[in-house]
Amino acid sequence: MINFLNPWFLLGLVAVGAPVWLHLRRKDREKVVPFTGLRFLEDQPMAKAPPLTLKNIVLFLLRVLALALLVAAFARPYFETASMAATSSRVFVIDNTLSRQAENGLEHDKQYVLDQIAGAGAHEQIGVVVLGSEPRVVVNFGDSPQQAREKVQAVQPTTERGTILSAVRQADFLLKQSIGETKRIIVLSDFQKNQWTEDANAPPFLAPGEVKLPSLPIAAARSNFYVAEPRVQRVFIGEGALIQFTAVIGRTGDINKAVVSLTSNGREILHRPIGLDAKTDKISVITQWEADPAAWMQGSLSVTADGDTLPQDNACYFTVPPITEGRVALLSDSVYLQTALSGPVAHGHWKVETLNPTKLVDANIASPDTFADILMVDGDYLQSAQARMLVDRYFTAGRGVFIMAGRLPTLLTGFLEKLGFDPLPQLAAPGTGTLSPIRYFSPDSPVFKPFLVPDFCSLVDVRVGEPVHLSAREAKPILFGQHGDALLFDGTKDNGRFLLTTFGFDRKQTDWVVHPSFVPFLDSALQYLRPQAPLNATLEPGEIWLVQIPPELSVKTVVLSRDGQEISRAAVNADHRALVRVPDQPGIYGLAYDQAPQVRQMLAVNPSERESELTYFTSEPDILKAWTQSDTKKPATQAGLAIPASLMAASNSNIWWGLVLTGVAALLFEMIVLYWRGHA
Amino acid sequence: MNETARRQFDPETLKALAGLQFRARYVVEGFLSGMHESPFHGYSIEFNDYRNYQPGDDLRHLDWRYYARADKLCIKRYEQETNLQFHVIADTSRSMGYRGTSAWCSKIDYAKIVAASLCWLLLKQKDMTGLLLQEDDARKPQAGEASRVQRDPQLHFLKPSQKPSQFGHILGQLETVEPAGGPCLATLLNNTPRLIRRRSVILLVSDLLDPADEVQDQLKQLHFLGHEVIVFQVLDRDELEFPFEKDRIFEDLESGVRRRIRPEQVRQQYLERFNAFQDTYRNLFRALEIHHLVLPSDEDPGRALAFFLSQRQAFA
Repeated sequence: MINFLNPWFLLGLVAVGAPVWLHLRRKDREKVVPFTGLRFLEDQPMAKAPPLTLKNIVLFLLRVLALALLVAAFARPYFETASMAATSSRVFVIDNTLSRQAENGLEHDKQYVLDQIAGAGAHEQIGVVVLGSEPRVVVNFGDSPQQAREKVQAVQPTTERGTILSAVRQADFLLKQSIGETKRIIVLSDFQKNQWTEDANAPPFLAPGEVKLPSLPIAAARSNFYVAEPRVQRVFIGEGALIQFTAVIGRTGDINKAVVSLTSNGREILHRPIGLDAKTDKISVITQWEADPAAWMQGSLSVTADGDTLPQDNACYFTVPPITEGRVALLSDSVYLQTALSGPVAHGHWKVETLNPTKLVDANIASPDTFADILMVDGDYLQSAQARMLVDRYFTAGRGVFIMAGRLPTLLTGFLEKLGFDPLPQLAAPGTGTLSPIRYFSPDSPVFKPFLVPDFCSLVDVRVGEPVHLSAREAKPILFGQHGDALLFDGTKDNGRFLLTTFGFDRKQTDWVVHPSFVPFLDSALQYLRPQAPLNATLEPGEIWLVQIPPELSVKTVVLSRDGQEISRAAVNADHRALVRVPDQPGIYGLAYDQAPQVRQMLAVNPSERESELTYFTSEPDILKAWTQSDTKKPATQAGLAIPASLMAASNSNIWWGLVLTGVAALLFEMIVLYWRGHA
Repeated sequence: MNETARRQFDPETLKALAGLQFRARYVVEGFLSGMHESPFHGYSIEFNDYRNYQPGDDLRHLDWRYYARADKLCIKRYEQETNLQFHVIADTSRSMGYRGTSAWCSKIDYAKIVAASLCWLLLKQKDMTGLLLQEDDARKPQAGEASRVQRDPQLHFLKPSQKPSQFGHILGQLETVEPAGGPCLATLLNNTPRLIRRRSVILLVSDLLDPADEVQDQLKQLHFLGHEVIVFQVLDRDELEFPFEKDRIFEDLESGVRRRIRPEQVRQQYLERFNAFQDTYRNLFRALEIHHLVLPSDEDPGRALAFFLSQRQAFA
C-alpha cells in the first residue's frame, strides 16, 4: 500500500486545476468564424463564452502529469511494508569523552549497544548518538543492523569535551522522527557530575519516562591523577633567561603517590615522586629552568601513578615562543628609565630610540612602518601637540604606548579625558608626601604574572608617593597603592594597547626605579604592550584556533602538523586570519605558512581539566528531572520536522528523483509540443 | 465577358504569380489575348490620335504640322477626346480582408488585382491614371514619391499621370496596403471632390458593405461634379450565398461583435436582407447613373476589364 510522508503536500494537486482552467478558458478559435455580413443578422443572439471543451488533450495531459508528479514527489510516497510498523524506538547516547575511558567504560558501553542491536527485532528502531564537542548521530533508524553494528564498532574515544544535555537533546530530536509506539533514550555514561550539571537552566523538553539510565556507577569517584592549568612564560633575572612554569596536579579517589616528570625540548627538567595526603587533592608544581630565549621551547609535564583509572589525562603540553628584541621609542627625562632601558641592561630585549622633543615633527611625518613597537612617554611631554599627535599615531598603527602621568597639567587632563580617564580630586599634590608601599596587583594581568613566583621578584617593598587620582571609564587598574589608589591602568585605544602609571619614574614619586624589580617589571610591561600577535596557543580538542597572521606576510594557507606529519590545512581570509580546528589528540602541533617548512606558530592541545574530575552521581541526577516535562502531554514536535527518519529512508531518494525528473521531462516535452505547434 | 478569356482564367496560376505587377499583367494580357480585335481600336491607346477632318470641326484642333507633312487635314482627336483622368479608388477597410471558405484569395487581394489591372490597362492606353487609398498608419513613404504624393492625414492620393513609371508607383501603394479599420467608403468619397478637381472617371473598387445612406450624398456630389463613376463591387462567395451549415460563433470583422448563428435557420433571412441591401445600392447607382459590376472574388478579374471597356465606350 502506498502512503505519503508529507500528505499535506498533496494539496498541491489543486494546482492541477490551473491547466484544466487554462484549457477550458481557451476560446475555440476554429469555431469562431470571422464574417463581414453580420450586419444582416443583428437580431441573432450575441455569443456567450465559448463552449467549454477540452482541447489540446496532449498538452493538457502533459501539464497535469507534470504537476501531479512534482506534487507527488514532495509528498514523499513510499510503499508500506511489514517492516515499517515499529513497536519501539530507542536511541542510545554513548559518552565517548575522556572521562568515560576510565576502566574501559566506553568499550563496555559499545558492547552493550551491540548486544542490544543484535537482540532487537525487525520492528524495533535503534539510533545511536555520541558526544564529543558536538553530539553526532552515528546510527540512524534507517540503517540496517549490519550497518549499525559497524558504525558502533567504529566509535572512537575522544578528548573533546561534550555535555550530556546536548547529546540528550540530539537523541530526543532523533526520537521525535521515529515511528515506534514506545520511545526511549538510553544514556550510557559514567555520570560524571560536572558533565551533567552543565546547562542546568535548560527548559524541560523530555517526555516523562523517556530517558532510561541502564546502570549507575557504584563508586562516587575513581582513582585518578591528572595535570591541569599549565602556565609557562619567559622571565629574565639579571642576565639569565629562564622559563617559569607552574601547573596543578590533582587527584581523585584514594591513590596518593605518583611520579612527576617535566621535560623541555627533550631535556628532562624534573623527575621526582610526590605524595598527597588524604586531605590534599591538588598540589602546585612551580619550577624554572634556563632556556635559550631565541629558540622555541616545548615541553610536557606528566604524572604516573599505580591504580590510575584514567592515564589519558596524566600529561599536559606547553610551548613558549622565542623572544625577539623589541624597539622602544623613549620620550622621557627619567634617567632611571633611560638606564633601565640602556644597552647594557636591555641588550637583547629592547633597543631604545630616544626621541628628541624638539624634532617630534619629523617623527610625526615618518611612516608608521618605521615606528617602534612601543612608545614610552612622560606625561609632561604630552602638553605638546606634536607629542599627543605621535601618541595617537602609535595607537592608530596598533603599537603599544606606556604613559607616565606623574603630574596633571591642564593639557594632559584633556588628553587623558580622550583616553577615557576622568581626574578625581587630589588630596595632595602628586609626588608629594611620604612614599607608601603598593598594596595589590592583579595576578591575572600578564604584566604581573611573573611576580606570582616568589623567586622571580618581590614587589612587597616597592613604594610609591602620592599618585595622580584618576578614574577610568574603560581601562582596567592592575596596580593599587596603599590607600586603594590606582597606580597602573591597562587599556586599549584604537588599534593599540596602553599602560598608564599615575606616578612618574623619578625618586620623588617612587623608589621603584631603584628596586631590583623595576627592570623585570619594565620588561614584563613592555612585552605585554608589544603589538605582535601571540605565536602560541593552548586549546582543548575540538575548539577552533583563530590564527592571526602578520599582515606584512602574504600567507594564503596555514598547515598544521605534528612530528612532521600534516594534520590539516586552513585558508587565510582577507583579515589575515585562519580558523583551524584543534585536533582530538593532545600534544604539541606546529603551524607553518603555505609551503614553507618553518614552524611559525605552535599549539599545545590539552584535554579539558573537567574531564579529569572523576566524581560521579550514584543515583539518577536531579538535573534529569529538570529536563523532563511534568505533564503527560506529548512534547511539541520541533517545527517543520514531522518526518520519521526511517520513513525518510524508506521513501528512498530514487523514487523522489524519478518523480521529479519525470515531471520535469513532461514539462520539457510540453514546451517542445507548444513550440512545434506554434512553428507549424 | 469574352468566353475565350473566361476559359483562360486559372486562379491557381494567378495565385502562383508572385507580385501584383505580374498578376495584373496576366489578367490584362489574358483578357486582351481573348479579344478578337483590339478593343482599343479608335481609341487613343495606340496613340492613333488623329481623325480625318470633317466639315464643321473646330479648326483650332487641326494638326497643321501633320498637314504640312502629309498634306492631309486631321484633327487631334487624342487631345480632345482622350484628355480624361482616371482615378482608381480602392476600399481598404477591414471587411475587405475577408476570405471565404472557397475563395482562392481575400477580397483585398482580388481588389488589388482588379485595381492594378485597370491601371495597367489605362496606362497602356497612355491614360492619366491616379490612385486614392485610405492610408495605413504603419505604412512608410516610398523613395521618390515625396514630390508626387499629396499627403493627407487619412488618405493616400497618387496624382494621375501617364508616365510609364506611374504604374510602379501605383503598384507600390497597392502592394503595401493592408485591410484595416472600419468603414472608410464615406471618407474616401467625401475627400474625392477635394482631391479630384477635374472631371474624371472614378473607378471605385469596394465591397460596398457600408450602409448606402452613408455614401449616397458623396456619390451624388460626384455625379453633380460631372465625374463618371464605375463601381466594381468585390464580394466573396460566402457573402453572396451564405453557404455555412454548422452552428458557429460568427465574429464581425470590423466591429468584433460575436453572434451565435444557426445557418440553416438564418440563411434565407440573410439572403433577403443582403439582396435588399444590394438593391438599395443598385437603385442609388441607377439614379446617379453610376455603373456597377458585382465581382465575386472567385471569378476571373478580367470581367472587370471587360466591363470597364464597355462602359468606357459609353462615355468616350
